[in-house]
Amino acid sequence: MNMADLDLSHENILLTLRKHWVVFARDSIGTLIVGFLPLILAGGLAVAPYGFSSDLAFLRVLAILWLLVCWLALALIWTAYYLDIWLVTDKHIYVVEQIGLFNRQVRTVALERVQEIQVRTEGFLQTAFGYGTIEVHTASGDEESAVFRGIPSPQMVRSFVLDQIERFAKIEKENVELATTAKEQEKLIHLVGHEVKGYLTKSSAALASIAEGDFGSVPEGVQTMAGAALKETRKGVDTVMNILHGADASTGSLALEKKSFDLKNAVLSVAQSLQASAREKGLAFDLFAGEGEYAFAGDETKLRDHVFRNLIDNAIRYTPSGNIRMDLTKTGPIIRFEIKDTGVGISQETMQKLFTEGGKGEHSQDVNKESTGFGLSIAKRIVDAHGGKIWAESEGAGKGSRFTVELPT
Amino acid sequence: MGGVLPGFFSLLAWAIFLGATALSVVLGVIVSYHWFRYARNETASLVAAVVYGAGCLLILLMLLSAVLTLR
Repeated sequence: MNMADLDLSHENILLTLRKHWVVFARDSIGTLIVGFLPLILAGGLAVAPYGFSSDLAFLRVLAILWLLVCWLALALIWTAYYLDIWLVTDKHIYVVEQIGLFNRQVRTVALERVQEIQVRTEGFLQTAFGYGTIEVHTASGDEESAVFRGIPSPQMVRSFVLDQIERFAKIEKENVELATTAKEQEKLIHLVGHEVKGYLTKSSAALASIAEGDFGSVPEGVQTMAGAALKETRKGVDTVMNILHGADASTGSLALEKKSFDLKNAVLSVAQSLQASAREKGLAFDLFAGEGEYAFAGDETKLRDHVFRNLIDNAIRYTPSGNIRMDLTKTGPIIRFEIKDTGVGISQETMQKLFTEGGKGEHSQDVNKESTGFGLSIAKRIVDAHGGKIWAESEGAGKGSRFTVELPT
Repeated sequence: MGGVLPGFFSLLAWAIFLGATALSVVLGVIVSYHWFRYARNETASLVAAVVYGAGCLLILLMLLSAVLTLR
């Protein structure tokens, strides 16, 4: 649909109306009769036995010119018929009118402002063919009414619009309730999340003390078990943190603490900390970074922990064998981090929801049971908040993948 | 007719023909632009443009033949 001057991207069109065809037929037949009349008369005079038929040649030229003028008028009648339109969406009523050749008028009436709808059916044609005029009056006295003439089945349209207004009011009410519930839910997530995080942090501190021998030596079995429990508890803390950050990001309350730092150092430190995990799996793990400092003003902690760590950790998790290659380059004002792996790859279907909340990959549960599905969504929001871009490319499942982050300095 | 004002009506008829042709073309461009820009169905716009063009062509041919008979 090309309405050119109407932005209906956030609305659903429920009803599209054009003037009744009788309106066009009435106007066009009338115009054609008026157009042909002089030509018929000139033809009649030419065969009349009055002896002045030879002087009618110029009159014939004028009669055909008149026919042409009427034909052009017919084109304008068609334009008005074809381009005058009435749209009812789930939020507004749009009355689009083509006035003459160069004026196009779009009147918008919000459904919640409609106070009264009047319908008029006047005369024989309107009654016989069931069309008429519909007038929409708004609550504001200053506002002009939206009028559409020649509308088919005006009573039915009126009922439809009234139903729609009722539905709109109901949805608005439900939206307010939903927003309140979502806010309460968010508060609850934060409360529960912080409580759980507090307990887990205490547990991990206690387990770390046991595992690291702060309370003296413990049997090897206990130490191993404490170490394993510590690892799991830390994963639990990470999961809770991810959910909390995800909740912050989804409500737009993601706060950045921006300061200047060396991005290369940040990426290097993350890569070094995860190198052991890659080695354990027997993966080739390489980072190539350009010369010099990569000064960047941004939230170092969030970029390091939720963007770079996430991407590198994912690459390790989702690559059973083969290699992982990271490139950090600087081109003009753009710092580009690219991580390419020979892992499980991403199908087209997964690619669509990869950066959405809870948008886990199809292999995520096989490879990473703790996956919350928030990781890439949070990474995207953080990169977006820095004015950057993040995207993924893959030739398909089993063909590896490439994630790229571009940050403007 | 030619005897009253020799050549005048013929000249006037040619001027009418040329003016009418120019008017048809200019108006055709303007209305077609509107049809294609604002219409919801491009096929209908195309049909309308073709019908408009064919009608204009037919009437202009009639006008031309009428002008040619003025000698």
